[in-house]
Parts: sequence; C-alpha cells; structure tokens
Amino acid sequence: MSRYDVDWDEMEDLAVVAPFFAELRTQFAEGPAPQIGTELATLFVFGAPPIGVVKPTPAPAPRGRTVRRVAAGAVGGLALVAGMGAAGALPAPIQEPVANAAKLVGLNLPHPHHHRHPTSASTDEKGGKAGESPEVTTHAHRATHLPSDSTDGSTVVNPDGSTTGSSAGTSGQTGTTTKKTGSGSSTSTGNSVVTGSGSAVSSTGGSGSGDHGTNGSNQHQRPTYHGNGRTTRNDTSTSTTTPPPSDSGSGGPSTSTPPDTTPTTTAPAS
Amino acid sequence: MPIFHPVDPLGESFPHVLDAAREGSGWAFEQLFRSLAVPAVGYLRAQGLADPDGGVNEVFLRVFRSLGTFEGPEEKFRSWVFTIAHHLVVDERRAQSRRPVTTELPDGELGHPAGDVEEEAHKLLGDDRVMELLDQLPPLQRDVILLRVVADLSIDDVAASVGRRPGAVKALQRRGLAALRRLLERESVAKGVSP
Repeated sequence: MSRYDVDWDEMEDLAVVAPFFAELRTQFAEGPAPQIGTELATLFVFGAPPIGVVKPTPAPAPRGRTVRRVAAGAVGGLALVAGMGAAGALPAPIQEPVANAAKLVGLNLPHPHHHRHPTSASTDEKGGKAGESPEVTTHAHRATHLPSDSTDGSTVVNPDGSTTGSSAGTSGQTGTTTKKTGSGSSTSTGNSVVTGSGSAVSSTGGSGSGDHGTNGSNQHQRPTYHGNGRTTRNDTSTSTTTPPPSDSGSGGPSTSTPPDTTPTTTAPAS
Repeated sequence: MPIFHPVDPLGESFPHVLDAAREGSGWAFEQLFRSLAVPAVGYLRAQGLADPDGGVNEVFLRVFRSLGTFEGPEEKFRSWVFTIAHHLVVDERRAQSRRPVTTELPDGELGHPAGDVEEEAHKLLGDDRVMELLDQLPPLQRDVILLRVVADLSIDDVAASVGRRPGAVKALQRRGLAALRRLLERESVAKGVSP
C-alpha cells in the first residue's frame, strides 16, 4: 500500500475520486521512462569529479537579533527616562540621579522636590488675601529650577498686590525664584529674586502692609511672579500659620535659600 | 539516445550508492536517476511541461550538482528530487506567463482562413481526460494532488516541497479532492444525459 493511500483524511471524497487517482497514477507515475540527454549520458558513462560533502552551515545564532533587540530596548528606555527627566515627571528618587547625570553631559534637568512641608503650605495664604494679591501663582518648587527667559526686568509684586520695582540683571539662563516675604509690621517688604545660579538679587518692593505679617517666607509654597507682572496663586487655603521666625523677619531682610542653591540675598533693610 | 527503465527503490543500498555518486561514479548517478526518473517525468508531464524529458534531465543535473548538500535516507532523497522538480515547474510557469505562446503552423496554412478556434485549441491540447480534469484545478491544488499521487509524497514532504505548512497542504488537498469530486460527478451526469 502506498503512502498516499493511508494518510488521506477525506475518505468520502477519496472513494469518489479513487478511480481517477488510479488512472492518474497509471498514466504518469508508471509511464514510459524519459530519454536521457547528452549531458546526463556523459555523466553516466564517464562519471564526474568527486563531490565533497557540504555540511549545512548552521543557522545564524539568534544572538545578533537578541543583541539588537536589547540595544533597541535600552535606547528606547533611555530616551523615555531622558524625556521624563526633562519634563520632571520622574519620581523624586530617580529624578535626582538623572538630573545629576544629565548635568555631567551639560544638560540642565529639573531636580526633584526635596523639602516639601505640607503644613507650611498655607503660610503664604494669609498675606495673599483676595483683593490684595489678585493673581498669585504658587509654583511647585521644581519651577524654581526651570530655565526662564523672562528674568531680566522681571516685575516683583508685593504682598499687597502692587507691582513695583524690578530686579533687573538676573540670570537669563537660570530659573528665577521670586520669594515673597511678609513683613509683620514694618512697611518694607523684601522681595528677593533668586537665580538658579545661586545668585540672588533682591529688590525692595513697595510698601508692605501689616496685614501681611503672617505672610512668611516659605520655600515650597512660595508664589512666583512672572515677568509680565502677573502672579497667581493656586492654593486657596486661608488658614493662618505663623511662619518660621528664622525664615522671614518682621520687616527685616528676607532670605531666600533654595535647597540646591546658595543664593546671596541682599535685601535692603527698611 | 539510450532509454533507461525504472528500477525499484534502492533500499539498503541507497547510502552506498549515494556515497559512490559523491565520489563521482557514473554508475551511481545512473542508479539514482533510474530509481526516480519515471515518476519525476510523469510529474512534469502531468504539470503540463512542454518538454518533460528535457525537464527531468535538468532536474537530475541540478540534483547531481547539489549532491554534496544532501544528507538523509532514500525517502528524503525522493522528496528532495521532487522538490527540485516542483521548483522547475514553478520556474516554467513564470516563464510561460511572461512570454507569448507560439505554435508552428504547417506549410501552406498561413494563407488559409482561420477555422474554429475552439476546435483548434482542443486539437492542440489533446483530449486527454485526466489532463482536462487536472487543468480545471487551481495550480496549488493541482500541485498538492500530483505530489501526493504521482510523486507519492507524504503531507510533510509535500509541505516542504511547496513551501507551506502541513495544515495548509491538508486544506489544499481537501479542497482539491472536493473539486475533483464535483468535476467527476458533473462529468458522469453529462455522460448520462448526452447520447
């Protein structure tokens, strides 16, 4: 019995076509032998030079493909981390080493928030009552390290909402942080602009109001004043919190100390 | 030209014959040729090759040239030979699709008016019933049926020859059988109706 007789699985159709297959086989598989051409006949008579056995070459190891895939994955992962690092979207424990590593190659990536004090979030709010500081934006601390191009001639807004003075000459390449310090009783308010490069330029603002005595300096919930003079505040808490005495004095010079900078703040005393 | 007659499969002597062919012995080439030449030329003829004898010569020349790359038993050798034959068929189909079919006309017929085209075509193609039925199958189904019946290959060997998975070959075989069944039933009905 031939192989084609045993592993057909469509026996119903096969029964119908079996006579046809028998005819097919008789006509073609058992037909006349072919004529031999000159080339084959010569080969049969005289033979041929020995043919060496060619061992089949082993298939290329998948190592190359694996290496390429791993390399592609590594590049993709690196690009993802770099992108998230540039956006400051990495978790703090990762953002810091990424930022440090990027600094080695000349890239300035934002650093994570190191010192976040939720309890002090409301300390700014006392001085930022509605109507006095109409639009105050409290930027996250990260913003203090973001590059800003609008530092020259930035307008500093006083706690009472008035826009006075300007702290010109701050670094255009580094981020600026404008810290609003409240003055308990004096009329002067120290507004310090801290540059990312560590230098701080302070400017004397307008008249401070005693109402803003509780507006202590806070490193983390500080309002940032944009170059266009408009400021906004996100936090709407109105709880009264006494600021740490060491951070801002009443009417004294304000001191701004970002966690990763050592600014020199020179606010003229009132 | 000499005409060789087919021989039975080489059986246990196949490894010895294969080694001798690799050494260049003419008798070994002849033994290998005679063991498979008849079904090979039958396969080429069933596929409609214009010159099946020349085709089988070409197949075995390719086989002998590549003998150094072959390793395996006689059944695998058979499958390998038919794979090469099938590749020749595929090459021929491609070549035919690119060139127009030309036919030499007998002397004196050029000036005659054209006759019945259908009748002439039947005369050229012949009235071979088996070939007519095979011609109505799609090429892939025809390949599978012929490799299974004429070449006597298993499903796996056919799959290797046509470059498809065994499951696909089974599906092609099933469809080919169904098509042949319909054709045969239609043929029998036509014979019963016609006087």
